[in-house]
Amino acid sequence: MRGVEEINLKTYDPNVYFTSQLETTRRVSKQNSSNVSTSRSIKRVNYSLADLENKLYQTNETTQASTGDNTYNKNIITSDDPTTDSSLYMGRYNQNEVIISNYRCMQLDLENTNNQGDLPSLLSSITNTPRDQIESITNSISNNTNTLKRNNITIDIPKNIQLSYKSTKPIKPTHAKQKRNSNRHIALKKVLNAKRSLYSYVEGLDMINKKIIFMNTYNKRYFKLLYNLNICSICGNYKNISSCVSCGDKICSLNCFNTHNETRCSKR
Amino acid sequence: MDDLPIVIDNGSYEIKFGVSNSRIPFRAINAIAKDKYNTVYLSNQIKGIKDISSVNFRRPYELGQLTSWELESAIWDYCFYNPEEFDGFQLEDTSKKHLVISETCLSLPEFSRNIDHIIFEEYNYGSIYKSPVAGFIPFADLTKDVISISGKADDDDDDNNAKFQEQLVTNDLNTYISSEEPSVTKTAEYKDFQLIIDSGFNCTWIIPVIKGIPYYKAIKKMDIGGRFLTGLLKETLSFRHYNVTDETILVNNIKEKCLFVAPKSYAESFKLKNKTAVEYVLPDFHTTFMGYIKDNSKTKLPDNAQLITLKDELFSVTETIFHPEISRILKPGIIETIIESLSMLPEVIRPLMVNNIVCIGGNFNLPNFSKRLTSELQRQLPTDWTTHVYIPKIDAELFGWKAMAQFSDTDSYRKARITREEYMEHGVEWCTKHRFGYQNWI
Repeated sequence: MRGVEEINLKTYDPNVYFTSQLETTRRVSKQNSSNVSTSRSIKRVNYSLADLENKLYQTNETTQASTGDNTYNKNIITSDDPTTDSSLYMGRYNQNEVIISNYRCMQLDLENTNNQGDLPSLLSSITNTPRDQIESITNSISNNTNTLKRNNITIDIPKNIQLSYKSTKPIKPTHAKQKRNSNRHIALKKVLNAKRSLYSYVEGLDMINKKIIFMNTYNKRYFKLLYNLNICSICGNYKNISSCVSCGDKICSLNCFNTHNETRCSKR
Repeated sequence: MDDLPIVIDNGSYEIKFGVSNSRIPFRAINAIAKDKYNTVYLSNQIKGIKDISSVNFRRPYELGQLTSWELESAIWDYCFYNPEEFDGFQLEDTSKKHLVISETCLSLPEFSRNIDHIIFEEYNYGSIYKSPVAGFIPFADLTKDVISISGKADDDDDDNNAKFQEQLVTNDLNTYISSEEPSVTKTAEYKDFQLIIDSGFNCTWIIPVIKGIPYYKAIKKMDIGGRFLTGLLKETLSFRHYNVTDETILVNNIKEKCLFVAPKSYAESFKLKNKTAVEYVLPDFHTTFMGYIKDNSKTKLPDNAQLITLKDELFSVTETIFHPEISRILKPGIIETIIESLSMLPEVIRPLMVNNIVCIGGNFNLPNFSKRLTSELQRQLPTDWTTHVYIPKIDAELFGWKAMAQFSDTDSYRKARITREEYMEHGVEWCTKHRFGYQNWI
């Protein structure tokens, strides 16, 4: 088995090679090389995961910044603005790509496919990107969002919903008590009858809480640990993957490419 | 005043509720639905819908936040005052009842306040304890009905297919507190360090819990949950077979019945895709309303039956949990999310957390999910750390409730709950800021 080997202190320079006899190493280095700084021989390597990651990101950032091709990203780096969610993915994707991805994620995350009308406002309140920007980007992909918006299905709760099953809920007898605490009672009714949707609540949230709830919970930096898996968007194959020239979807064969051109290619 | 507490795990897909000494909770779908004839169905009535095409849902939860109490209270009434549906369970005098309830991790302070407000003033409970589900898991009994998987088990024999040494932990009578006879004197037995992975309907949470308290700095969230997987399966099926964009119930059923996670890797499963293929018989609304998996040994199908053959869809949809890029989502996968969460923890306890991972939530009912997670995670970690995952043997979605029920039997619970008097004295604001809310710990 080949592994770590101890060195002989007499034949090797302990300042260059590793030895477990740390005490002697120090002594040797002090005696032999007075002009070499002792800090070098006992230089400690930092194995902290967080620090190593940090260092990695910083070097990435600086190389990205030095290329200087994307001034927008550069601004984010220097200002370190926590309000822009896109700073998460800096250096790898531009903001448009991130918005499209977020939008697509929310679109797939819908139970009723027709209820897409609220998405842009919700997305903009959560990620702090202007709504117009989101709409202009997403409209260019799917031209039919406007038609879908009109079809938003709302389900109202029927007044007599309790009659649909054998409800045993007692009727509240405490009329007098409620009058006494009328303020509380009004507040309660207000909560019970609230019809606001999530984004109006998020809008009203202060910056600190918003940051805690919606930003800190996502990964701060985009990093990939698993390999990048590419699969054909048509048949799911993982071999011989190439991309469609016009839209970037992954394709594995000529057959799939033809199917893709007939159906999915968005920039046809 | 020493009745058994009522325990409610108020999930965004299903409400799990019941008295704390029952073995399994009652379940009610947390939604209202409307079919194409504009008939409205409440909660479990949805299960009785015959014509399942184009059913639309509305839920009290939006993105995991409990927004609509108008709807939620209607569903709660259905749960609590409906002995016919729920085996005689009903609330009578709530003023003497204790309540243990779960809420979304990091819910908006306003929604958090609303819950307390309504529980005390609309439902008149005597006391309440509220926490994210993860906060209850350390109290759960990991010796019963729990499988433990170790990430190091596969080091010895690589080609062997029985890769993971799956061992059923046997009942340890000494540590197991029988639910039939709650022992009042028993002091709290809980695990100090645990990493909870809660993969539910809305999203997947990575929550480190230290000494029974969620470590809020390191909580991470991944937007992929059960609803997303259903949506993605919808998209895939619509593209390859029939348009099912409006068939939420059908697609959800296909998801629950057929989908699995690739046990080793996507490539490996792709090679075997013809072996694992499943033929699903779509509903024809005469013989079947939900559709079913074709069973070759059984008698032949009706003449005009419509079949779809599912091959790589079965695992490519779930593969997005690990590789979101295959569905063109530029977000980190579950492994990256876990590592990021670990990197926010104090360095000393990281290996400890990795060794104590508990998986809860409905998505862990997907076959192979936890095994794959263990092996992928182990590969990314330093070699001297061992990943160790605990996962409920069946019904991963009920584990949270069971943990809550076990918690309600401890002294810690009796000390921590808020009584009606305290609420009346300090008000709603205080409950959220100083007792239950996340602000208390940040």
